[in-house]
Amino acid sequence: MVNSMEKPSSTSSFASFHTLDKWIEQLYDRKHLAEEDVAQLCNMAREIFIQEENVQPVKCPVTVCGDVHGQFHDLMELFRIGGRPPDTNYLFMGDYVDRGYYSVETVSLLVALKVRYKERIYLLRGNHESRQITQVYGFYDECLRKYGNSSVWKYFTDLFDYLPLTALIEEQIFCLHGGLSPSIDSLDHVMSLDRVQEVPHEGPMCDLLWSDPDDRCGWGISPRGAGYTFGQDIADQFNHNNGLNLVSRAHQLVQEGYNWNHEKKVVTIFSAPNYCYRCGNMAAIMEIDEHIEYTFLQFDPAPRRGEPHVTRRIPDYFL
Amino acid sequence: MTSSDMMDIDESGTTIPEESALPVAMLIDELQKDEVEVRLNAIKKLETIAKTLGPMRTRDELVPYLNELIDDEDDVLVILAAELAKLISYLGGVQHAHVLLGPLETLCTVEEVTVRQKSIESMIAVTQVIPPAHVQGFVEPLVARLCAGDWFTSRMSACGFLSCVYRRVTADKQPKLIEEFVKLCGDEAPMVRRSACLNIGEFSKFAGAEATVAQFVPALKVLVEDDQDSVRLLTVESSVMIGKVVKDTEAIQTLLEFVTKLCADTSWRVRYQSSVFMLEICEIMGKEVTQQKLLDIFIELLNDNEAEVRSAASSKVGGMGEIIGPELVQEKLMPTVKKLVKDENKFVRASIASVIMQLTNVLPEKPTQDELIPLFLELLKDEDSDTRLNLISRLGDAEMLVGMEVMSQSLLPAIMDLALDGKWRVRKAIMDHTPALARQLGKEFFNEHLCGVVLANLVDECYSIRKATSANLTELCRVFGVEWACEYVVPKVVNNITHDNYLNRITALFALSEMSKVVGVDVIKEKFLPQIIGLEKDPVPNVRFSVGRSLQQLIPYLSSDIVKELVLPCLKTLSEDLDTDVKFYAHEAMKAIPCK
Amino acid sequence: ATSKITLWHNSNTDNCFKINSDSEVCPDSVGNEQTTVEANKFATMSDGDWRVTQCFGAKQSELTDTDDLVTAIEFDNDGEYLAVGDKGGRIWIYENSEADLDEKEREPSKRLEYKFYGQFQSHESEMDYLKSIEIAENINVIKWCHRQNEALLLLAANEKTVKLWKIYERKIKRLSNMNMDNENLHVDMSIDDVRIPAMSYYDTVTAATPRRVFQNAHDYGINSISMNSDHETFLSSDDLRIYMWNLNSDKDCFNVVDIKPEKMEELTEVITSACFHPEQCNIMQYSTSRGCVKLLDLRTNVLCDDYVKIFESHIEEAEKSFFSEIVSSISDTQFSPNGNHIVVRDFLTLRLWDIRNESAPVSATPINPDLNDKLCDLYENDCIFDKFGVAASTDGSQFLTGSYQEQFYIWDWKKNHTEVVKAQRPMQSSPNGAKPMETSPNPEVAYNQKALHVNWHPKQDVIAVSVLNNLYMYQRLPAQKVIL
Repeated sequence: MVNSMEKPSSTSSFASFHTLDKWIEQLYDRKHLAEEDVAQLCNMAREIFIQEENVQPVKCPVTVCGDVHGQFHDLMELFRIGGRPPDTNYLFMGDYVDRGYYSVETVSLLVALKVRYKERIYLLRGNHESRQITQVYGFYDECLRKYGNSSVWKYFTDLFDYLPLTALIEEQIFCLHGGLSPSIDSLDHVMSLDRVQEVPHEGPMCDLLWSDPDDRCGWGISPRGAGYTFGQDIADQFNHNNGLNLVSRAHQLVQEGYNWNHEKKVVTIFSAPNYCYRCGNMAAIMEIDEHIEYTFLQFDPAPRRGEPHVTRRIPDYFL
Repeated sequence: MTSSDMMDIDESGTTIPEESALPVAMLIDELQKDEVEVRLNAIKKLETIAKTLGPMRTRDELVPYLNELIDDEDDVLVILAAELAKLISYLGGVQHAHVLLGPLETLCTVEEVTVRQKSIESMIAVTQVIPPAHVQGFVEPLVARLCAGDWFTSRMSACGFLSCVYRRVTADKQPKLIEEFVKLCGDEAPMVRRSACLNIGEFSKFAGAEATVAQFVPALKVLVEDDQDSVRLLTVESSVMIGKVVKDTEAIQTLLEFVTKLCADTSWRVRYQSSVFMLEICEIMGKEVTQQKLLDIFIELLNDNEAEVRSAASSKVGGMGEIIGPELVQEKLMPTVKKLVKDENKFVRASIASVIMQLTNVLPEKPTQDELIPLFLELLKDEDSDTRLNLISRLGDAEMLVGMEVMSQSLLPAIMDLALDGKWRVRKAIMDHTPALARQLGKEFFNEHLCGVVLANLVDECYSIRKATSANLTELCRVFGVEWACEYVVPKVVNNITHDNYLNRITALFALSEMSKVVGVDVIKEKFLPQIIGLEKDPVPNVRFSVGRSLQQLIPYLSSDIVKELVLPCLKTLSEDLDTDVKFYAHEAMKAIPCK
Repeated sequence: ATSKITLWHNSNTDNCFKINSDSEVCPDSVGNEQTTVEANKFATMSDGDWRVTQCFGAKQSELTDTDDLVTAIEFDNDGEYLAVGDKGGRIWIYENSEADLDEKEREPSKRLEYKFYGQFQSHESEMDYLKSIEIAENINVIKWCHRQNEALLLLAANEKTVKLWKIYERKIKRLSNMNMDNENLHVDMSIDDVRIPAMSYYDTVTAATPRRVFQNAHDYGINSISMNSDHETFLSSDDLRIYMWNLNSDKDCFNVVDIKPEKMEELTEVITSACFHPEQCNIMQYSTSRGCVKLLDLRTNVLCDDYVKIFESHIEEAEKSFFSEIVSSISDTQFSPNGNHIVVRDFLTLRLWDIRNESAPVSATPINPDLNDKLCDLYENDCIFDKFGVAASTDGSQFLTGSYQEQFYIWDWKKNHTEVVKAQRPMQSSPNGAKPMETSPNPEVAYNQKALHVNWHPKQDVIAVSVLNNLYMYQRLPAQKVIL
């Protein structure tokens, strides 16, 4: 150490970084954390999420991503293309778990990155970040399979209650998982919601995580059984009222990975390529630079996903 | 508490006397713990246990106890099988090593193949060291039991073990062991016959030429004609192995008949294997037979109706060319090679593209110009990017191409094409080849045509490409030297320091710190440092902490004066930044500054 | 590490096997003389009669749990063990009661009896999160692997996942003299205080443990699995694809046949069953819903989307009806034990092909001929899609398949003779020794009393047939005097 240097006062806040870096490294290798480490991680994460707003302000530059759904290999591909945190800033718009084979590893990694680099990466809540949905679509069973009990599922689903619902990039781009709600016309209203709870079956909080844009005008009944569909008139009005340029959301499979709706007032971003390992779609992320210019990067599935490796070339075991 | 917990206590300061037997007592208990991880850990420390217990207790108590552990999970058994061999040195001399054979015998009949393999290895290790009397007393009955085992796993293990026993028994017993092996070659279970195929070559090595000709060649003949192609396909390699042992021409002639048959087998699997081993076959049969006979067979394989066979054979075209010489290449091989270049199957084309360059070393200049170059040019335009990449990555094999105008002319569009491919992995692959290409094509050509493409990749939309480009630039600096770097690369990278997009500025910082490894202190100080430090007030925190990270990388190359004068003030500023990450990397960098 | 071990005590089987009072065999039961329904039509076989020897499962009146429905039956390669899968995802294993005796010690013509050996849960119902559908635990197929040591190995598949099970006798250990029980256990202990624990065995249990799980390959439901004669590879087939696996690896899987058209609208047939040739490791066949069997030779190409031979019976244009395509769909095919023939079961026919002759079947026999007029009903109640299995006798001269009303057919193709047997429980001794056959001409066909699954002992004339939750064992025994 150089003599003249003082011991930095903030060193103590770096203390947990060593453990976190170890966890992150382990997770990048697709090895899930020990149960007690998950408990500790979730505790640390809750302290951070509590501080965040229902409409969490996010600065540019940032790269916005949609659903990941436990497709760990494809999340790695996303980082290969977009860059690994902390080099690149990220905003993920929910649905980290369910359907894919590696929900545990995926959500653990994203949460660990959040705790390690809380100003570099933001995580919103998706409709799958819920106790009920994860019991039906895989995360619960995966936890049971990988840990032998449901504690890890409980740690994560308890944590999900604290995730912010929406984010606002530079006062211009409103980001959320699902879409708009007939009971919400201003961001202030979103701010005032009591979000720390299981995703309700109806009401404004439910709608934000469940709604979809629609070609028809006005509000419509969602075929999903939760949330609403909203037309361009609704989006226009909402953007106008709140001084927004764009609503950025995820939640729906789109073949090209991203899709403009409502004359570029709404964009859908979906970041799970070949969704469910069979949909054949591309994935995309939206890079917003420091001048609020955006670029979409599309990507294909990572070369190898899931087990087993199904091949149409000679396997070694025939020789 | 487990023994590993205790190690932790140990580290944290609680003292356990060095001579304490407590950890070993714990380890012994852990051999039977419910948790697999704990058991595995304990078994990996068998040597420690044995060392502490001493030879007598190890053989009288520990080994019999281990024998009772064999109904465990496969992961544990593999380790146990390997660790058992290590106990040889802890038994009080090789006259006691035979006690290990008991558990190993049980292990080599379990259903998991990896466990069996490991236990045969260990059994061989034991057999190699025990006294001759024990070979007779323990090993011979053991191998007899394995050979006569009811289940095919035990007979499969016998196939792998027999040759080792053969080397240890007295000469009068050796013929009997060969006989046993030959019997296994005709076993009713195909798995045993497969195992025999895999081991017959090794055994013949030890049995010597005479016994091989008399016993193993006839046994191999039966296997070559086996009903199951799963057995036949393994006899290609067996023939090669045996071919290395036998000397007399008659036996070689017989083997030639075998491989001839195998190359024309009804099953693609066998023909595929024949293609894979074609060069080894040629080596054994000699140049003359290759030219007169095997070449035609090889050409058949290159024209096989199954693409996978063509692909495997294609990968041997270069080697074959070197054996048969220029005339035959031109006369016989080239017509087929021309066809393969246009093959409908992309794997075949990719395969031929990876070896065709080798032919330039065989053919004289004229036919290379007239016949090979057009093929290269065609492959360079192939629709399959792997094919193009394979060709380009082998440019180094063809020295005579250096500076050849027509090649350079055609290479360029192909490289450009790949460098702009939609798939980032293709772009990355060509990027990874640029240093080799640069060496091949020379500075002038590179500067004129390729440098721009490489530098453009610094702002590729894909992060992995940007990273790879930075690394490649460093490699290029090694190839062309610092002066070149300063003239062609540094200005462009420096230009990116002020790029509009933060990701590109970060890449520029990264490239500069990478190149610091090769450019020398003056360039770092004059050209890099001011640029890097210039970004300390960048509005984007990611750029600011990248400054910290880059400086950390530069520190080892800089004198302490420069560090103190230029680097430290900047890091100090950064360490007072409002952003946590900026502060963190600044502190990390300061920690890297060596103490006076 | 995913292994779940099911344990049970051999010595205490009644705890596990819930329902089985009827499986005890009455030694002097002669209740099956009446099993030949159309006795006048088919003469008694000279070499013996089919007699029911055992029946496992509760009486149907007691059937409350559909989990008990038998869904797969398979003898192992020696016939020493019989595995039965059920709708609840369980596998029941029965053992030859003389399994401990050498073949020499056994009486050749003796009645073969199976006793309960063990049961374990092979599959559990789970969610396919990708498709959001439930995958039932239902055991679709069981195939035994060649034994590699004392343990038994079998493959069992539900709709999506194949599991390799190892079933073995596990000794229950008792450890004593552990170091942790030692009062001398402390930091200053010397090596002389360190003990090697003593192990003793106090019981054996039969345990089942999953060695590998072959999953995530099938997009459609698995209809067949088949072991290759190389003892190492096996296939699994679904509606559109056939995959090949190696027993030693669940990480890689080779898709050898893919009949999925580019556009699903162009789909004309699906794969209904597939199996390997019993001796030639490179030959396999699959049957389709269009009534044909395709023979593949794995030697010809890596990918076998094309066949080398096709066995297809053509329906006369005049005979075509709305149902003809449906009833011609093949529900099961098997090679004869020597591999020279292929037996094919469609809804109304059992057909035999010589694999050297694609032009016409060697022989055929009608199954359920009277159902021809009831196809509308069968279509209404979906029974027309029932998948009846078929099995071949040891010498390949006879074939066994099931039908409705608890009946099964044994067809001797060389003698062109078909025996129809109605499955019945072995009689508890009754005064006359025989129960009169109910001959009331009930026009109602008992559609639910179907004998879907059948299997033939690999060495003897012993067969297993299931109807609902019951497993019937029949054996051809020397003719006895018929008491009427």
